[in-house]
Amino acid sequence: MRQYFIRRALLVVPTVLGVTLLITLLLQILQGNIADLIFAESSTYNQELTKEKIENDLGINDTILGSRFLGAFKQWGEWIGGVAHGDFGEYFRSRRSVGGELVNRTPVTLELSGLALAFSLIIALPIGVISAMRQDTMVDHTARSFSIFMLALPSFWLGTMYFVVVGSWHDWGLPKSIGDWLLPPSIYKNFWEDPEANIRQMWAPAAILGFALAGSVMRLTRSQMLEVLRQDYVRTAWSKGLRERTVVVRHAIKNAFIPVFSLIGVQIAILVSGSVVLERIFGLPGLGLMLIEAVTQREYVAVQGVLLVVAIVVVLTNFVVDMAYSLLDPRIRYA
Amino acid sequence: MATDSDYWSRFWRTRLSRRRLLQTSAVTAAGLAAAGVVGCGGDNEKQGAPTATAVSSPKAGGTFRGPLVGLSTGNPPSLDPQRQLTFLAQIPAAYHYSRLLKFAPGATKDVEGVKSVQIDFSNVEGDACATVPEVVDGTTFNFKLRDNLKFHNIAPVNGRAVTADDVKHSIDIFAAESPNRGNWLAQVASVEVVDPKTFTIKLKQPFGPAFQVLFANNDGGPWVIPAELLDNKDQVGKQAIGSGPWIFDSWQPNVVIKWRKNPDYYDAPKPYMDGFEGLLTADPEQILANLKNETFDGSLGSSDLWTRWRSELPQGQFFTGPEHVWGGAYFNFANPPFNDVRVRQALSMAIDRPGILSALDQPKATGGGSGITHVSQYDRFWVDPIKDASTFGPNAKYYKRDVAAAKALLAAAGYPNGLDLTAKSSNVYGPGFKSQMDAVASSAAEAGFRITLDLGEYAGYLQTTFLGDIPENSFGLAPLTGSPIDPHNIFFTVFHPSSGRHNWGPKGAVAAADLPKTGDPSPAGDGALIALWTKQAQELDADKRVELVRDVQRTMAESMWLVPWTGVSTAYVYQPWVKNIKLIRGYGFGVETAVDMYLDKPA
Repeated sequence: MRQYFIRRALLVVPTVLGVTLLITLLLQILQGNIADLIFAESSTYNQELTKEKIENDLGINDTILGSRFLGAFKQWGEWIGGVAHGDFGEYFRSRRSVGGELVNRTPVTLELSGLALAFSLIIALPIGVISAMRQDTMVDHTARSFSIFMLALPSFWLGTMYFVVVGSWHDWGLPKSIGDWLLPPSIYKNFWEDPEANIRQMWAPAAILGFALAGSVMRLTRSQMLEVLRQDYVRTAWSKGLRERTVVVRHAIKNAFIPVFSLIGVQIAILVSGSVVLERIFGLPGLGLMLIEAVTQREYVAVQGVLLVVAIVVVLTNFVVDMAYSLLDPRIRYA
Repeated sequence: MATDSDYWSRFWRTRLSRRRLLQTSAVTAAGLAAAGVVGCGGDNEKQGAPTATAVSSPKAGGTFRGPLVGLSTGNPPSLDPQRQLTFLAQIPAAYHYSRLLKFAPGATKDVEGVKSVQIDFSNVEGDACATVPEVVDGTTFNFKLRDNLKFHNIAPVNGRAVTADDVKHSIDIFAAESPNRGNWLAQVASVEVVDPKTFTIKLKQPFGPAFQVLFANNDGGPWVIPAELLDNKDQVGKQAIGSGPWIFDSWQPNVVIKWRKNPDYYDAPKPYMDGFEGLLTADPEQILANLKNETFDGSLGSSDLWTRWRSELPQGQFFTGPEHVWGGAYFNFANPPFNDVRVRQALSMAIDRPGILSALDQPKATGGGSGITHVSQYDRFWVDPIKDASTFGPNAKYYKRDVAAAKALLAAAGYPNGLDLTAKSSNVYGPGFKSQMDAVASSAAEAGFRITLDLGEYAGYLQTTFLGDIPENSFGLAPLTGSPIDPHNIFFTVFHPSSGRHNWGPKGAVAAADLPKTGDPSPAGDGALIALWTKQAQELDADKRVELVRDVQRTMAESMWLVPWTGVSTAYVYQPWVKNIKLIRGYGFGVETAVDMYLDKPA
């Protein structure tokens, strides 16, 4: 176990580095760079302006053996060297610190993801377990239909509908004070600055995001529970005359949750990188919005910074999940 | 043969299904319209309502809160307007920086109960300078700075007076580094400081739109920025210290830019409000919900939302005007079929522009004719080829829908069975422009143009299609210029062969000395048009220049170097307690409109 822990821990660093290098190279394949954007924005007659001039001004014309693609290795090397010293670089245009921006935005996304995960588990786990316990009953059918419903509703639509409902609250004769509370504040406040405003801003997108995730967790929980409930040791527990609650809670759930735990691990990665739509709809200044803007504006350094954070979260999550297997199931041993 | 109702039915079927799903998702490019609203001529207009919703005694205090740009995130990539051209950097600049001159709001029209502000960009007045400059021999401009013009009371300038040296330094940096310096370099010979409050700018040759394009330009500068900040490239992108009506307070990316009132503004007691919070939000439902809950004081909306917003915000003050973002179908003249003028003319005659305006549910104030010609947003210069065909002349026919004539032109060009074409554009412009693209494709189909839309990723589109790298049987279809303040901007950006980014192919600028290129199938070979462009630029008599610009329109109607589509309008809504709204198009909202507004909100 210890050996495995060390081996997996050592793999974290090269994996993260590999991801960032791959991203740097892939960015070179994309058509256009920041110089193209600035050049195209030049809205008046300007013979003096060239793309090369802009690239020179911005210092993004690195080449090795005349190759831009190879030059990207140099660019990556310089960047990763800076990161090792805590310098994540600057935006080309505003010269804002990418590191500072990551510090501001990572908590927003992590808070949104964490709350969404909590919402999804609160919804999915009990329903999944009950659905399995009451297989092929009306409760089970309803729960399964509900899970399909959750999977089918796109979060961007739910987000839009949320504002439609809140905006129409007063029109429907409902109490204005509640409508006012439900309308998220338009200026983001972090939890420590203004807890109430933060919760008003976060709960709805987190619930919507969690709603979408709950469907798959619920279905997997149900199927795993069904499988576990058919195991010999569970049958033994029943034959000993144990109460249903004891059988389920003490004997079944723990083992049923091992694959569910894996799924949750994967979903954390999806949540961190995939909340961009809701961040945009709800005006949350998280990593998703930062990434989209950086990609659109070809702010390579910012793209690399965001993806580094995402890569670290994904790799660490998987690492934790792998390690947790042995805790959840003593039968699992790592050579 | 399909009837008009057939193709509009098809168009609506596809459009409505998408609309019902998305209804009103973010309309990024609608924000290109930026701040302000322009009115446009219509048959049943009546002059007279004042520009402002004025009340005699402005109330001081309060903070305005609303989207900075409207249905665009508005999040600037940088706060340095001198080195970043994007409208996202220019719009905030107008709050905290001064220009030499600024535009004055024009007269409002009241068209069928909707306020539509008529903008005449010839109305300029002093900003950093006390008045418009004295002009000597058409090329020498003597400027005098305001005596009470001071930078904001923030370190390191600490409220010191603005001097002519500050202005010259700002101009020097602008001329050396701004992506927008082309006009300046092409026209300006020198800038000389006479004394701390006086300076002289000399031009290389007479330039008709000098006040608009060079000195009052809010589409790139020059802005007056203290050297202490302008030379500090690490700071100027994220901080702002100017002499404008609003003091920059903070910028929270993707969230908000906040300003507070400048108590030492040269035109005190303006601004009347204590602060302005420009939210960097883009979701139309979020905006509408905040307007309905009265947490926003106003917003720009797109034409898609006009009818719905009008019904859901009955208390709102609405303004409208034709789209200020100009574009259409553009081509690579090295490739068939658009190297043949008959195909371009046929495409123009196949597009049902009035039908598109009607189908897109446009506000009536647009008059049904916006966006048809190459300069339609400029009231002074525009001749409507549909409503005023006799004044426009015989080439007006190329703007009129005539399916039979379009088919005949296509047949004569060798395409009797029509053409399968790809319209290349970007997905960045949002559903408003996408609807417009769909409508162009739908209406042109009847004449034999079978058009498939290809919406690519923005930066890739900019590098290829936008600069004229367009393959055979394809054309570009998109908005092309953001908020030009004079026809000169369009002629010398989109069309002129020497433009660094002309929107046609083959790619690349042609040196002015090599023009015209006889026999060239592109505008580079159109010597008469190039001469006309130059002539209008150098004409100092305003009325004569208007006539020359109209001649340009007439000439381009036949050559159809670019086929203009139908401009959709924008809509502004303000809460009833927002008073003294003097809307003007362009990027100067902060100094030209917000400075006069005040809040009279009931307790």
